[in-house]
Amino acid sequence: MTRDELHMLLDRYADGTLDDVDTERLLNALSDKRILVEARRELETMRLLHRHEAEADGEVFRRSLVERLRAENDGDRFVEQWRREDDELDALASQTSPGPRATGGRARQQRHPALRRRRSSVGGWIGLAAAVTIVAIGAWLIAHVNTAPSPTIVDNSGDGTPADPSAASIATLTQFDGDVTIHRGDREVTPDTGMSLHSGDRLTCGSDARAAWRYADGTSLGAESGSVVVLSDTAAGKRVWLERGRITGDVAKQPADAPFAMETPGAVATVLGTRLTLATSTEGSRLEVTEGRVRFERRSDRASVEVAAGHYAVASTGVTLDVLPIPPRVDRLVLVDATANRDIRPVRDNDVIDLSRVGRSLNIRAEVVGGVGSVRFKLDDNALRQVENVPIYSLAGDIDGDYKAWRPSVGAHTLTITPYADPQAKGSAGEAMTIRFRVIDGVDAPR
Amino acid sequence: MSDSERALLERARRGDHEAFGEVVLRYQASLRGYAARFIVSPEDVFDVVQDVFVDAFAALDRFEVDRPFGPWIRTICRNRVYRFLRDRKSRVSSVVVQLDAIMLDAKPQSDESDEHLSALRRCMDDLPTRNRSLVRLRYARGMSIDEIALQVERTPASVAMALSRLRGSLRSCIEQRLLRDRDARIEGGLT
Repeated sequence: MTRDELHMLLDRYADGTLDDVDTERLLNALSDKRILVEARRELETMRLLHRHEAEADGEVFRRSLVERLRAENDGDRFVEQWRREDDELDALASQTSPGPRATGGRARQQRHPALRRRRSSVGGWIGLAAAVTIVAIGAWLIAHVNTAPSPTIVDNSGDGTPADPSAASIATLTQFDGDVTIHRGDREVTPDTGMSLHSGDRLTCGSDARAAWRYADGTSLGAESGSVVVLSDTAAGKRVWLERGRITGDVAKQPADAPFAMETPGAVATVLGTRLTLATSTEGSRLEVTEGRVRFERRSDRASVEVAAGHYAVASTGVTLDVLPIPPRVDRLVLVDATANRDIRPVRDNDVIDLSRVGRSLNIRAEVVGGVGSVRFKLDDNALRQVENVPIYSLAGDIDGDYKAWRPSVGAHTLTITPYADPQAKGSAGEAMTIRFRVIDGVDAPR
Repeated sequence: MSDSERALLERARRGDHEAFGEVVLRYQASLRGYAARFIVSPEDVFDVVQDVFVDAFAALDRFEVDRPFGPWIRTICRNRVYRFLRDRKSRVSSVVVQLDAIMLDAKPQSDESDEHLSALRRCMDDLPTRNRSLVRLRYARGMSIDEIALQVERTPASVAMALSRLRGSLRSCIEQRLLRDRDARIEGGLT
């Protein structure tokens, strides 16, 4: 193990993002006394930096704490108001017809176990968050289950401002293909790339359709064919309701008191900032975590597990809620500008890459999930062949995150990527991904 | 306890968050330094010490202002760190528990650590702004590698590599400065 590798593993150990394979690897490496000494020296440097920065930058810490104390104090005052509003909502919701997302205060609490947990653990501070969330979600429940015009339900601001969860833009539709429909309240809105998505918007992807959207904090999500998704954003955090289908995305770091909740009829995934896939069907809900850590709760019995990077869990009635390692798999491919070391866009099967638009110094990165020890790239029957043993896994390779350039020839190409459990393309092979794509240079070359 | 600290604590007991914030400024560095001896994650250290002060604020009514505040808050911190480590044990796999035991086995000598810290202060002054920012994001704000990567629009691997190199060069700088200081002390003793 090189010194750089050791240091990178130690950083991931510090962040709690080491998967089981790398944890074992680090543990084994530390049986070598020289590596152990180096690891402890590195840890000591980390401690010193921590002490230094705590002395040099106490203001951030102070401000953060004072804000938290204020929020808790405000929360105390709002707890009583929340209770009153919850009762009002119960009364309102009981006038609507029951749907797949049951109505009523108790049902809403079941939909938000994360909020309930936080409220009970840290008291009134969370009371504020819960109050606003429950009011706002109550509003879109009525709007979408009943398909009636969204009523102004209650004043949830405390200053006389009517609650209207659909008033503000919460995300931008960045891409859509195929038959995508958006319902806003009781009307259908024509999808358009770059359009604002509002709290309460319901996206339906037909067969062979997909849609992607992005929030202001950089969180990006995508829904695949057959998915039905409802978006909302409240003071207690962003919410995505996945009625059916599959969503995948990168969730940016969320405030600790306002996690991103991804919900299905059978489960709730509470996310603070990670990369994951959540899919749901009549059989159950499956969560895969690529980066970070997600709390996953089954609604039926409130059993919950913490799913770490490289693992998945399935919430389904009658099946033990276990966390299991994800078999090696290529999750997606990303076209990279090798000069600026920046992602350009995902690459898909039957894609067209126009060199006049994306530049000529390129690379393709494979994002993998599961216990991956190496990745083999094979372009056009070995015209270019590369085995990558350490992340970042890319077609032309990289040096410490600085991508090497791949200058593709104009014409049709086939790229096959295979993940392996061990280094040097050894060990059990995961499912290979093959894509075909065409490279053009301004004008399409004859095929 | 100084009169000014007593006055701040009296105000804090009446619910004055800003006054408590002033007290926090005086103690946060030493508590974060203490927690960092047992907790590797900068993010967890930040959170645990925040919880310490939240606990202390809630319990100020029980604190006797004539007694020194330092030992009291350090006791709360010790308990919080202990609770964190206990919870972590039940949360992580047995392999990570083994790893924790190995990595956290060697505690720094406080005297030696202070000397190193003083050398580090001088080394940090020479750092380019970009590297200084990286250190600040990681250790002052307690951000993870992934979070920093998002913020600076680089890959997590390149951020981790940059931090690794940065720590390596700071370590060399510290060692050189300590050697220079030792030589200077020897020379001073000879003349």
